[in-house]
Amino acid sequence: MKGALAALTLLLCASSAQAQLNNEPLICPADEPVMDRYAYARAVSLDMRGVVPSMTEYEALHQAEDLTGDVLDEWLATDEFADQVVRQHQALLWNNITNINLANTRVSLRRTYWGPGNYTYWVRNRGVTYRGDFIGCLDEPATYTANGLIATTPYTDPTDGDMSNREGWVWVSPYWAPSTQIKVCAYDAQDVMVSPSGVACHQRDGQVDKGCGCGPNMNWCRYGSVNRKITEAMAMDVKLRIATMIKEDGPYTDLFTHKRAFVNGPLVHHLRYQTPFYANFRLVPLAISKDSLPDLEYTQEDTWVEIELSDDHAGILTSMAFLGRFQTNRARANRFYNNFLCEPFQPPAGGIPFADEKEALQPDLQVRAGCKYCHSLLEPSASYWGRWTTGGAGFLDPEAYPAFADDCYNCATIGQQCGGKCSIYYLTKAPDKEQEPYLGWLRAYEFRRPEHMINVEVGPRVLALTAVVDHRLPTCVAYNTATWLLGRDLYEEEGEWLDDLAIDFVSGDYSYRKLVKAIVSSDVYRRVR
Amino acid sequence: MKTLQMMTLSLLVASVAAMGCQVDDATVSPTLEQEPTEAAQPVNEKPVTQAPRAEEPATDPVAEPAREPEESEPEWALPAPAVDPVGVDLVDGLDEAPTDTPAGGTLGEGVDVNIAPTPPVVEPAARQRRRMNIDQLEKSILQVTGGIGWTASNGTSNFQALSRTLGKPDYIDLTSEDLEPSALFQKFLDDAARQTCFKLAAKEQKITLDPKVLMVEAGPKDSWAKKPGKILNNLQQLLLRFHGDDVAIDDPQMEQWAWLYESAEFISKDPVVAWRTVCVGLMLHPGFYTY
Repeated sequence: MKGALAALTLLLCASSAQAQLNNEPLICPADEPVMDRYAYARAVSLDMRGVVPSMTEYEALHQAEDLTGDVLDEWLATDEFADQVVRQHQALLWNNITNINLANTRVSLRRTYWGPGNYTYWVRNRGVTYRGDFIGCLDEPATYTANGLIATTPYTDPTDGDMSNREGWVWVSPYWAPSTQIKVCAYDAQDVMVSPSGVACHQRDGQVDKGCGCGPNMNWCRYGSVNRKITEAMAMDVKLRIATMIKEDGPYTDLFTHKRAFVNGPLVHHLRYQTPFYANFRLVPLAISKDSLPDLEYTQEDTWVEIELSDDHAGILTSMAFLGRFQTNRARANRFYNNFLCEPFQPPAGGIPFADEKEALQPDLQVRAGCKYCHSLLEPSASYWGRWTTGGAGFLDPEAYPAFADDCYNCATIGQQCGGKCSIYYLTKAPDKEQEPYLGWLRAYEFRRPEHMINVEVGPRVLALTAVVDHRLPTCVAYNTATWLLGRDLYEEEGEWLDDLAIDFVSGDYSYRKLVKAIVSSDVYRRVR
Repeated sequence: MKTLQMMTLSLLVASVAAMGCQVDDATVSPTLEQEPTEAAQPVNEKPVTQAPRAEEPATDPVAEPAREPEESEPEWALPAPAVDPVGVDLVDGLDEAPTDTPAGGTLGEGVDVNIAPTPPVVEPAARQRRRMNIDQLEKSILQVTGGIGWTASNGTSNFQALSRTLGKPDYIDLTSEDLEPSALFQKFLDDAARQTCFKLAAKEQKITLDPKVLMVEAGPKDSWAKKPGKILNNLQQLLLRFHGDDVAIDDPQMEQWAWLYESAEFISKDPVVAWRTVCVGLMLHPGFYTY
């Protein structure tokens, strides 16, 4: 065995003594860390445009020494670059809210199958109100009594014996397919604005009134993919805001300060007709004036119109998609701190200490043992969204919703029943004595220190601008962009470079294009491993 | 991949060294020939002395002080051979009885070796090579094939249909993109490459005029035996198109692709099939789907 080993050793030694392997020319050399102009162009093109260069672009490099700054500028001005930036920001904003249910079951249509191509549409959860049972209408044209009421036929369910009165159907051109006609049960197809009992049918109360239906062209109800199209439009609104900022080469800070929004047909339809019939996500009180909405039909899915919002808005931070994706004010502040300030809320080293029983019952998280390490900062930060509804994207206008409401204070203290406004948006119960001073105040004011109360009124735009001024936001944007383009976290020794990037970003009017150009033009980007 | 090959070679060289090969002195690790140092002395033990060996005359430590390191030695070079404070040869004299009188010693004619670890090479910071995401991959395939994509029978994009499976986040259930070149990714890339290259080769077999993207310099009838120059020129074009590699005809990198083409043509007897094979090979190569 030893002999064999020695022989092998000798053989290997002899081979190495030749200093070169027989197949040396066939061995691929180690990668050169510095990319040549072709590989560099390929990497930049993939990062900026999401695609490899064309042969024409490669061939242009034969005559050039390197990829020029002009070519970079040209690529930065493409729509494809805007798409890449949007894609990158989706990872920060998570602006997909297609899992949100916008409309409740009292406006959700279903259909009964009677035969091939023969369906009647109706709302199951209004069945009891209309007919006395969760049952649809008959497959026959609707008839009316002499005084104009819908005529019905008594019906007994053979399975459970439940009694009901069923009507027939009427033809309707629904808003989601206006060029077609569908059979809708006559009660559900009612299009009056005010019911015989005086209820406004386009408001929430109308959905429990027998005299109200789905409105003209079924405007107040939804069917099929309507919910998805609206939530996708909300996500697209954010994408378009980012893309527009990039295409216009506007300041990055516009994302948090600009008052623009984008709407299409489905979104306009929802905002105009369906917001009162919310399910678990409320857009009321509406943050967008209906007067600002363009005249778009539901079917104009691909038509996007820019609208101007009120001064209360704070760019993407108050967009429907952001507020829908992060439905509590703490979640909103947490997302902003994590992804735009690069300051995640983290427990102290060694973990959160256990609190004794008394401390654990402290209702103010800013001072509760353990919680305070994050919440002393998170609570005042979250209060910047204090006028934006949690579990929704509504806006509490200061005139209609003052910081302190006498009526809410009264209902909280003298025992009379609190209405919806007070019970939802104001503090009307104080299980702990420390909460009592805040009874009658907007919920965002609970435990706010005097110096933080202003946060509620100024909104998240001021939070963003503060972070711009103190340089945290530009530094974080530079960091996010560098890690995206380098495909790795930054090393500690690259801190100075990051500072330089952030300073240039600020002095370059927050141009995201210039920031990206600076990074892809750096020696670091040019080397790859 | 090239780095892996270099690492393998390094390991081979290292194993050779470990088996006792004569390697350049300047790079070797401590060996049995190494002279003892102070550090080798047992802690808290009285230094032992040793009588000089018969063939080596005793050396007076006073007369012959420890050698000073040469000025030209780098800072990390091994200090001069350490001499025991009492001037003994620690190697051979362990079994000798200690004497009261300090005696001279010699360390023999050793070879200076550097036992200090090689200072780490500080490599400049670099971008991390990474895999294309699904959207980049789809668009790049369309780019290099002149618009032919990986589609289902109804014409819809398979990349989009399988985007969730392939790790594209939807930001509800999955919030970060998986860019690992996993086995699943390789499987679907393989499917994509085969389908698009089949369609591309079939299309270019039919058309006679430009624009062509697969058989640009060499036609469907040009074989390796008859037109090797055209084949190589075409391979050169494809490497630039697919990998962004501008390689010369005589570059060693060209060898593997020429071999692939030649082998495929040898087996199929059909240049079109050979180009199709090269197309698939180029797409499955990390040079295509990483950057």
